[in-house]
Amino acid sequence: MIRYFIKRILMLIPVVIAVAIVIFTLMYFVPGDPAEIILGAQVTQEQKDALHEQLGLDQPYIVQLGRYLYDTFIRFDLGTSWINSKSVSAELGARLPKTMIFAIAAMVIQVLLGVPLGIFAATHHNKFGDQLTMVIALAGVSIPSFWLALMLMLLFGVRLKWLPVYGVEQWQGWILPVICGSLGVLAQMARQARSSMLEVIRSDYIDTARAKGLPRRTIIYKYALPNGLIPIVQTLGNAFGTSLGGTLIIETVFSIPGVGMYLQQGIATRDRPIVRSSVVILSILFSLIMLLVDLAFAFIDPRIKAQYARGGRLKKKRAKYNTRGKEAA
Amino acid sequence: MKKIVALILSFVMVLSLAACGGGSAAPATTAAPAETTAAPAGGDETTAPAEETTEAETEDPYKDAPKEVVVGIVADPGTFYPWPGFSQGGRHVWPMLYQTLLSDVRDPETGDITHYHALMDHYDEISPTEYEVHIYENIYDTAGNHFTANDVAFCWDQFKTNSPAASNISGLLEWEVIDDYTIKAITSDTLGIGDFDEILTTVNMVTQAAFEASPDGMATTPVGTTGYVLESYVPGSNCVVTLNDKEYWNQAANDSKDIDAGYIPTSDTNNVKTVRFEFISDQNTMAIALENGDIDINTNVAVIDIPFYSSDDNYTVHQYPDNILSLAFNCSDVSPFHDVNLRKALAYSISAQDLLDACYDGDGWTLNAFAMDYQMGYQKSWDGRKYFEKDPTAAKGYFDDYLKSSGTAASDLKVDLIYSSQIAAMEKYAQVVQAALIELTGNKDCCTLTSYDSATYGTIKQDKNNFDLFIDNGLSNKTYILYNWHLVLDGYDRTTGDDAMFSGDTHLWDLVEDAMGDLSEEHCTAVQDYLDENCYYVSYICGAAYWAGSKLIDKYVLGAKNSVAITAMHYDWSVKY
Repeated sequence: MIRYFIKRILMLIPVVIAVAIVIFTLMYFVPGDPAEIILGAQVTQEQKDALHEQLGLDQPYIVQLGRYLYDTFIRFDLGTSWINSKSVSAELGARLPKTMIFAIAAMVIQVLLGVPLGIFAATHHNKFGDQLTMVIALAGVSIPSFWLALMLMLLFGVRLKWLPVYGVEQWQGWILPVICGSLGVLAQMARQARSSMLEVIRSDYIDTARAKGLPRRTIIYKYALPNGLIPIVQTLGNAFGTSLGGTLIIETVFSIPGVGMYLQQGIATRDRPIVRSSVVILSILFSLIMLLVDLAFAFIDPRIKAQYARGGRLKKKRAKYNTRGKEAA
Repeated sequence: MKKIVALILSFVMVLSLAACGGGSAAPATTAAPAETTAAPAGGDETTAPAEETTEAETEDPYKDAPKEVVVGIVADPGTFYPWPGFSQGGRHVWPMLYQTLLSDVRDPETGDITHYHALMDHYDEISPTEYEVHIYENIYDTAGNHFTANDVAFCWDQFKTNSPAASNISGLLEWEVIDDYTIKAITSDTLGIGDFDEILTTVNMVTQAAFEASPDGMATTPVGTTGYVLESYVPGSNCVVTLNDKEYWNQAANDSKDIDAGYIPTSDTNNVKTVRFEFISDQNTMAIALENGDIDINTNVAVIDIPFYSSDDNYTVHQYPDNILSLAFNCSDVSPFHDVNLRKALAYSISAQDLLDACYDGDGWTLNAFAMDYQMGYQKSWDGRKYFEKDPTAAKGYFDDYLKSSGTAASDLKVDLIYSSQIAAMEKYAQVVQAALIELTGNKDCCTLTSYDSATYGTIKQDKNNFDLFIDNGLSNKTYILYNWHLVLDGYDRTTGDDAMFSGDTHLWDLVEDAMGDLSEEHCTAVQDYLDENCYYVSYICGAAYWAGSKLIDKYVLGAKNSVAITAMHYDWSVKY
């Protein structure tokens, strides 16, 4: 198991480097001269050339790539913004916690509400409870987050004056963004949980458990749910990873200074250090989340854990068998 | 059952969206009841009229009140470094902390652009490339450092060396400190009228001592020469600027309101004690924040909200000019618009009023020249000049001439119109032009619209093979009309070696340079006439932008670069306290 964990960590390195190369290349070929953006429209060719030289943009692609990889992965220097000269790592350091708070809080709501809803729907299959849950899920998936955000702002912020309409300096400021950001995935979670549970509930061993006279709660939560958790955990992991960099709309509407907005600003102004570094950091985080998801699989399903643990020994056994087979021949 | 419920939910959502659209179904067609703008300016620099002293004599009943104003701005300044690049958030905050030698803003009373001598007493023009700048002798920054000519030299050096906007003072070549309060500047011989003034209004002034004492180059610890200091800054959230404890070095002029003594109506006043800038990136959120009372001023008002604010007595609205939009042709040989007949045919097919109605719901101005009437260099005689008004008969005539001379069939004409996707009005502008072309040619596929984000748009326009028409976005807040002209019409100074229209017309460039030399009526009118005669740039409109605020705001004042001059506005404190 530990070997598996180390192997996955080591596999992360080429993945992140590949992502860095891809994003560097994409930004290299995207139209829009950074020098013109920084210096403005009225600039002589000499000034542009001077800035190109200052930023290293006059070097060939491979030289720029090499320097970028060296700075990022050897010196751990994420660079400074070309627009406001602020350290990218400092900015990310300030913004990432806010994004993480949002992502974690949204995940908690998604799990606490989505899974029970799905279970409820599965256990009341084809009855009113099931249909009502699915309608709620449909609404959750269909409602645009920006519209919901504005409606909630008007209701809770303006009419009732219970919550602030923007900003996250106070803890109350997190409530509306988290609700808006979690609704879509909560709906997906409910549907996924329902689907998984329906599949499991129809299994023979569940019938056996019922026949044995076990309480319904025990059947559902001790026997059925663990077997239906794998797809749910997968959905949760994907959603968490997406919410790290993909909640631009929520961040914009509620004025949350997160990574999404930072990345969007960098793209709009062709500020390559911001875009490259943000994407690399997000890719590292996403990879780690996927690793945690896989480890969670092992925790949930002992068969998977055994598979991870057996991974090395199985190869040796096969090799030994093949050798014996050849000797016999 | 599920389908019925889903249908009902969808219907409810649609109804809610319709209900959220606001009270009035009709778009705004009337200007908001706001301060008037765009008073015509003369062709020469004017001395600023004295500010009305409405408050000076009466005792202020709210003298000891906190006098805090909360302003919603669209972005975090990002830094308080004195010489940064442009920032949507910074342009409102930085003028509260830093001053330049010269300040050019619109006079709050007349609307004319006027020069105020913020830190500089005067300058002498020794020769066309040599100036002696004399600063005031009693300037101190908020840390108590005395500001001298050495500090001016330091700031110019820092700006040229480290600022992303260094190209803005590329005309300033060298300088030499003569004494504590005099510095000589050597400029390029390509500077035109107003260019040296532009340099003096560009560079923020700080003392070298304060800058070197700052641990982060004043990125979060600014020390300027205004009466205000940065009290707190929460990145991504807000910043608070407050009146300095120590007496402001120019307080006497501030109290007397005497322009000749150095008083500046827009930046020198201290009508507020504390200003809190809230960074709110979304337009709708900012509107809600104003409605909720979380902010006092909304600097990012959507056009659709104007009727709401205008009709409600709880709000005040201020209108000011947005950017100038105009249509430019690709006059090179690769485009059909190299033929002046085709250009004129299109120009006569478009009504500027239609453009204004489409882009800004009629809220703004149609222009008769490539300039705003309050800018220096604008000629009064242009007010009544005959311009390209929609004339289908004339358009048809020019179009027929084009078809005859080019041997092209109307159905074969295919052109590309490009615009920036990040300026909402440009898309509508493009659609109006497209409709005009379709009407002219009878060919619904004659015009392809392609949009780009701002960064890409700037690069795409540099290549004549990428477009036949583009929509230009000119600044309306520059002091001189020459700024926009020089930027797009003078091929001598552009990186492409040609003007923005790729006309290769050196006569136009010469005319622009003549106008830059003396800003005379003769030369400025020659440029405008030549532009029209050749139909290079047409269909000028300038939309209106707005601020909105609570009843706290009695009178709005426009600051430099269309920033909100918080400290100079008049407030009815009884609303708050």
